[in-house]
Amino acid sequence: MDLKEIIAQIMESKGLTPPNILTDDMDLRDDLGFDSLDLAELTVKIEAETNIDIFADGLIRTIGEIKRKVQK
Amino acid sequence: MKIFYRDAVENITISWEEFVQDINNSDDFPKYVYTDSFYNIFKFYVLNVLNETELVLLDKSFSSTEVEKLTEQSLHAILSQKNKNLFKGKLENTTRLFEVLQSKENAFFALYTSGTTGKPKAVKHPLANLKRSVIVSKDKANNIWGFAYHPTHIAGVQVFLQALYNKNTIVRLFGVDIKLIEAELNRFQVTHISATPTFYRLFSATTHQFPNVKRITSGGEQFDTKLSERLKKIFPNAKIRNIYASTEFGALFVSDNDVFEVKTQYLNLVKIIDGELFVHKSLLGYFNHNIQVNTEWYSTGDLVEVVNHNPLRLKFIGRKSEMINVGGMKVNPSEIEEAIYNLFDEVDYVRVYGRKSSVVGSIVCCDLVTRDSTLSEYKIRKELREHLQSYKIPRLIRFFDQIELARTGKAKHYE
Repeated sequence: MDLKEIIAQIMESKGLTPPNILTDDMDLRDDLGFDSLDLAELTVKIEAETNIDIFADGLIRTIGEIKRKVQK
Repeated sequence: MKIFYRDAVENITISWEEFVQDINNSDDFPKYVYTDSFYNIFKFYVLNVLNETELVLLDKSFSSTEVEKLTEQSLHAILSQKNKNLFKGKLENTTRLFEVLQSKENAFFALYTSGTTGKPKAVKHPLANLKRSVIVSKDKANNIWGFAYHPTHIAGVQVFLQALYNKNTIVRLFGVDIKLIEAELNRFQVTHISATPTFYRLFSATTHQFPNVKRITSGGEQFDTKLSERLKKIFPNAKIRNIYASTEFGALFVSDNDVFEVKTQYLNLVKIIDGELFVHKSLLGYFNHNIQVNTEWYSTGDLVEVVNHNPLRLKFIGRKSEMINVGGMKVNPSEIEEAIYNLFDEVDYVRVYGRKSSVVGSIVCCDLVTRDSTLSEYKIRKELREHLQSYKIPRLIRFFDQIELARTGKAKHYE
């Protein structure tokens, strides 16, 4: 699963420019401008590739948290 | 020798004389229709009317397990039940057949419907009710029908009866691929077609024109004006009609576009509550005695907008159960589908639906079929952003080469 690609796709669909590098401490809302619909889309797309619903246990805020969730 | 029925799938062409002879030679006919042969299905329909019996219609694509569950009998028991043909040897010719047909009103057609709750239930339609929408007249004597519904569905039964009582020719188009449909339309000079919008949308990939077609009737799904424009190009001499009907109550309203006028005789038999259309129970076929129908007003599950009060004119805006709840905001899939059809000429088919989301409840998704290989999710969403609010925009877009048509001719739903 290419997390950078999925994030880029979502941001481009909104007319935003995705960052060149994704760091673990980047906050989805504050740094990448994700709203709840974007988070919903992100969840669905990650789930399609990994079968893991990253929001199942509650709110996820950073890139690092996503990576840890899918690595399990 | 006027053709009664032409089937390019079974490769048969039956004349009216042959059809009458076949009926005249029949000892008996089944109580349950469960066959792939459309010709036999039509034969059983006529035998049912003549003998004033009750015929139960089962689409052959139901599995035997489904059939046993629906009817609560074994498949063997169902298939062995027969009715005697009291008219064997008594119908010398077509004239005699019609004499008898006109006098028979007491037959029943029982159909299964998924209704608004999704669980199939049996609805018994008295022939008298079904004949309500049949118009017999001399100017219809030479109509040649392109038959694009499955015969075991309400629309199929209605079209069949219309063709039967006018002694018309029926040409099968259901389950036939585009090239063959084109050939059949021309070879048999089809003048009337009745089908779902999905059928028309998939056929609209044709590059030919069919000037012989005089009338296009659409039903069973929401009809959009963009499709209407496409059809006018393919069928330049055809009048386009839209029918609002269901398995529960047959054909109710007809219109030229997407606005339906409620005739005066139906005015006190329809009601609108919270935007949903309700019809009076007197308009319904009879339900299986196991099902309770104790309410006076039947909820159709269809949402309508009143565009005019007197005369009452309605526009159908979508199915109640299909509304998608995105973070508390209600999204009407039909609105999104219409927007996509309007903005993208190359899209042959689109279905918008909701998918559960742990974040916002549901998100909007869509499946689509397009001729344009350069059309991408990015392109579609970019364009939609100019016209729709963010929560309405499909977040997952799946592209398909073709959509399987389910038994009703409506698109099969992918979830």
